[in-house]
Amino acid sequence: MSATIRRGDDNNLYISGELGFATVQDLLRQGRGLLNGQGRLIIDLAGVTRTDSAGLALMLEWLGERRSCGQDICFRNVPESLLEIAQVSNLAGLLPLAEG
Amino acid sequence: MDKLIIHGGVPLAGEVRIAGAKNAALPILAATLLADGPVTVGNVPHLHDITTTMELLGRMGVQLVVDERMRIEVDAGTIKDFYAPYELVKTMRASILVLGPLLTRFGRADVSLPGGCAIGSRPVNLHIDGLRAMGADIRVEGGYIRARADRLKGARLVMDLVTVTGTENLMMAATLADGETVIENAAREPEVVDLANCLNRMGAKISGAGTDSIRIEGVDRLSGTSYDVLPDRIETGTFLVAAAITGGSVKVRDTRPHLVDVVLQKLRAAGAVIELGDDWIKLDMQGRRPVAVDVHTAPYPAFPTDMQAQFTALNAVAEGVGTITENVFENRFMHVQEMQRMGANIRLEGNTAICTGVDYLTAAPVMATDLRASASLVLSGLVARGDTVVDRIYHIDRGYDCIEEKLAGLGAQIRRMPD
Repeated sequence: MSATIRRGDDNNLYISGELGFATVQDLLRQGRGLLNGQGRLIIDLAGVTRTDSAGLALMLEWLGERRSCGQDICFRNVPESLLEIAQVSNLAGLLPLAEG
Repeated sequence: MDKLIIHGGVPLAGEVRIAGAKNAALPILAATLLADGPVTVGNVPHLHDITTTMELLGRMGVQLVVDERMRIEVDAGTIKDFYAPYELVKTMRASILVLGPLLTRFGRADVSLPGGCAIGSRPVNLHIDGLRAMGADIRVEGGYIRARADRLKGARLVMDLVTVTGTENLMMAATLADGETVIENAAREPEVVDLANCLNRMGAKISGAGTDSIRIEGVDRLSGTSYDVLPDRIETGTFLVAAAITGGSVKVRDTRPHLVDVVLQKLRAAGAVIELGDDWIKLDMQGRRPVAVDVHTAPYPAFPTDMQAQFTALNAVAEGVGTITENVFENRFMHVQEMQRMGANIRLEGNTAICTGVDYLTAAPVMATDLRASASLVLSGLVARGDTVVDRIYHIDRGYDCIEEKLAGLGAQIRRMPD
């Protein structure tokens, strides 16, 4: 199980692979340095193959990091299953979503 | 506080999926504390008490992950605290279920005493007495049960009263005790059997679950497993009554018909045509008005107390006179006054409600007082003329997973109005 996060030509971040318990520590590490920068940052999850509530926790961690620096962040192509986990956790309203 | 607004008069039709039983999921989540490897629990309903239990476990340091299929993986290997605080226990009495697992596996537990309960007294002294009989040192101080033990010892436990959570707590405690425990006068509910099945899957040696004498041979350790919670028999029964009361035709699926044998018997007596499959039940009233039925509640396998309010609603609009006798909990007819405000002809005599069916109910603003009472008010709203507003529906949200979406899927005109 592996996952990567990379910056695209459009300056957005793209995650591929599993966004879950087994990979979030690694993604958190990979994300350091990538999450800096001014303006609105979009993280695209179209390449995510599997997810769980730990993945949601990482997204909230990134959200907190960006907001604490006064910067904007939003998530695009969030898997339905992840939205459902957010829904039952009463966290759906916290996630800033961008159109795919 | 949210409200439900129901425009009555639509016969329900279609299919509805039944969720896992909260009363099985809560003890099974507590039982995950016993395993020395991760336990994955599936078919868990999306209810607030489940979230509270996850918070309770999480605060102890237990690692929880919800996967894409909404299964909860619990790994108690990271536990640091053996403590259930008042602020959580007061919102969910079932928190007491962590007492037995914590004590038997980790040798200590500090669990807040739950507060009062709107539907009658449900003492925890049977849990405490049973654990003491197994050798635990238990003090009750500062509103907390403080339990300590090196290793519990098997014992013969005779329960004064039939208690579901008491049976479950002691059964879990006995799984890792030294020697054999026998629980006499045990609760026989399917949720107790489901917990025993899960524990056996983890390596426990339990026999007799589902009878009034449960035998547990203690083992040294329990291991991780994967287990799906059984379907909710009360949700099953509630949707069947919803179909019957509206003269509709509904198939409930992902359930187990044998869990609701007595309820089906009463619904047939009320005039329903019922077909059964392995995991589904179809009820068709063929447009007829239900006939009033007599109901006496008692512990499983008799008629469940958690279905009496729904049958009170059924009788309220049925043909003839039906009596509902509540033998399990005191003070459990609080829905009757609200139904009377909708025009129901119900007389209370002690623990019996005598219902003379009326041709129709009339919509009114009504207030939910407990979980099953609120379900009965929603059912009443489904057949009332006009728009019924059910207030304080946080009660119903505690026991029914997406009730308004499910009823709307069957054609009901129902919507939630946020406060």
